[in-house]
Amino acid sequence: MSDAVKTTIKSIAVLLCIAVASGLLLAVCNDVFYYEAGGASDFEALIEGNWSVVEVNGEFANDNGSISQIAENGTAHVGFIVSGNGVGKSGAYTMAIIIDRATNKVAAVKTIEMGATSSGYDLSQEQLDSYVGVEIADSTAFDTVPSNALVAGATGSSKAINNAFKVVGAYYTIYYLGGSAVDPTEEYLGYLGQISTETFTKAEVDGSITISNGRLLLVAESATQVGFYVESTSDGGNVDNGAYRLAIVVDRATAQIASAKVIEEGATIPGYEVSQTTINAYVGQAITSATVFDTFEGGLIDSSSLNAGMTNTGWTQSSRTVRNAFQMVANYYFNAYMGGKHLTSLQTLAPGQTWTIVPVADATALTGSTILCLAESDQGKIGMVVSAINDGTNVNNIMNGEYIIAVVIDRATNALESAVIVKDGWVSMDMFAVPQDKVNAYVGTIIDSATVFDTFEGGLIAAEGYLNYGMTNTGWTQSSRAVRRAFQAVANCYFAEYIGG
Amino acid sequence: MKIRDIMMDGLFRQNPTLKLVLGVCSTLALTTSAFDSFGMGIAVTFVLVCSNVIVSLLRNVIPDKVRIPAFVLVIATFVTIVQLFLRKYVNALYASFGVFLPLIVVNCIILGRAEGFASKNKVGFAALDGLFMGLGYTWAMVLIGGIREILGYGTFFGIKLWDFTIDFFASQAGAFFTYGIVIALFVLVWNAIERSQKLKKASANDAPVVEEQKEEN
Repeated sequence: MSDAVKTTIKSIAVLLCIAVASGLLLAVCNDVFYYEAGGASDFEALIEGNWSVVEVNGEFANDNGSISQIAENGTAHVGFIVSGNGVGKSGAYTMAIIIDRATNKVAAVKTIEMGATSSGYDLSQEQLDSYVGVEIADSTAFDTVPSNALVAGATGSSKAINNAFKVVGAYYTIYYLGGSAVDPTEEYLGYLGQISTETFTKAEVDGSITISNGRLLLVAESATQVGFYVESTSDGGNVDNGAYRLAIVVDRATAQIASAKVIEEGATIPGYEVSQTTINAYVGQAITSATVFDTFEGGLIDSSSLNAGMTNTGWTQSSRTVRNAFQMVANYYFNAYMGGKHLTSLQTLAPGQTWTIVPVADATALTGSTILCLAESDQGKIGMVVSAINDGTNVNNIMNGEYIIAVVIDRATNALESAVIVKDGWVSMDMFAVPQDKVNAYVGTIIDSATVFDTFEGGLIAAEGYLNYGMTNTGWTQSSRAVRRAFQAVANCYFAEYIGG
Repeated sequence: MKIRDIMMDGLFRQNPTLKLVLGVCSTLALTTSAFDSFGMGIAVTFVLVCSNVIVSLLRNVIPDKVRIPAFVLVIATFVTIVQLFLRKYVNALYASFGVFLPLIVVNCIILGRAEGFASKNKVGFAALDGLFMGLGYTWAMVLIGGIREILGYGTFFGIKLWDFTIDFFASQAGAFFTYGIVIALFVLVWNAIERSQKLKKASANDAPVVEEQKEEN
């Protein structure tokens, strides 16, 4: 046998020996460091701990999606790998969601599998983190999408993700809180039926409005009224009392409280209950601002009048908790139904002025646009916040969403004094965004007709200059057309309201 | 061979990151935070020590022609063990390392020490070489990672220091920039130290000569 052959045999033998030894060592290590792949590792990556997979209750079913895995980090956290059904163009989203069991709040979330057709329609981790801190008190916890997690142009993805949270909310309510996951909407609508003869349908809660001192359990609309079923919590006084639940109806034409009733009494001390007579003090009060009830004392009860033996003075906590409910309703109604939430845009655009909202019932908006807020200032200015969407043709599935602009018009000269884009409809392709100088092209125009902007091309952007991606489209970009549509709506409304066209 | 030399080579004189510029991929990719850098450093140190020991033990057994595949086999075994360990016990770090964890197998530092040192030296020296090369890699990684984390995120080992951040340092361009600056400063300082040591030695050797010359004069 030659040396070369011997060396070859030796080489193979040595390599084989090393491979066998490595294999044995790794086999042992694999047993020692055995780790079940799947959900637990996703939870571990979010919150370190001793995660162990537990069985998903086989009886659980939910229309919004399904749970594939549950793991618990001792008694501190419970994690779900959950799939939320797709909405619109978005497919199903698979999410890892962790709930803190001590507080029943969302502790962490991450996307496992994206459902959006492209990453441009996906939600960022920062947007997902809007869910962190949301408390699961019952199965309705995720009925409202947090404002930062509802992304314009990616609403399908946002709602698919929210579906995943709804599934978790339902499961957690049943198996960790011992509650019921039955949709309580019918029950809540029934409470509104006790104080109004109108037929209400559930409305989506505007997540951009901050709710404090309680929860909006239901917002419902009828032809002439808006109904609320709210839970108000104590504002921290000296005598403990539980949460109150009230049904409150607001008349849309007058913005007055039409009727109200306590559904669940919160007072824990006999004699401190809030009577219907006291509640009626709120009825007929007009909602003129978000804080209209902050200083309203007609529905408060002097605590010293109830129990002479008590040393505390001031208003009873129970009556203050009830007032919290009305404050909550006033805040929501003013911002969501009277355009109050848009006032900040006008205050930013034209600072140093006091703006008063004017009803827009008579204002005429064009198709595809909405007058979100019409207001008059104490310095003779008219402010408007208008939303508009693109006017039709989409090119190669490149979508643009809703544009919102704020404008200020000088009442004396009818000149459009200033304007700004409050919400940019583009979600992924910055090149199509409408810059401020294009918006400024509208500024200075005298609004002397409802159609003054119909043929105005100073603010439009030529599509040919941008679309060099094989697109056959010519003309103006959709985004700049959407912005012009908003200005057209401004002119239309202003002319109708102030010039009498 | 002195243990002190092995130590000084690993930590400073032949620092794999700052002098030999080896393992650059993981250095650039994982130095976004001091914690990740530290974790990677420890993982590499473990693999270095273990693979050096085994390679040294087998240095007279492994035929020269198949030494590289044999070394890779040994290194891959220990990298897999590190992977299994991290996945079970430090999952956040495991997820953070991503593809750079299995890529330790082809890290030039490890293969370089196996080939250049362990296969030619006794087990004890090989183990020490692996240890100090690993520690040299670790401190350099933590230094770069620390600088980038402090400037890029305003934190150090995850502890918030301030709100001020420079996004550039968190980016890949920031990794190149920081790495370059740290190398430059290290070489500058190390060369100055070596120069001063040489001068000291030279002056110590010259002193008696000067005395003799005086006597002759």
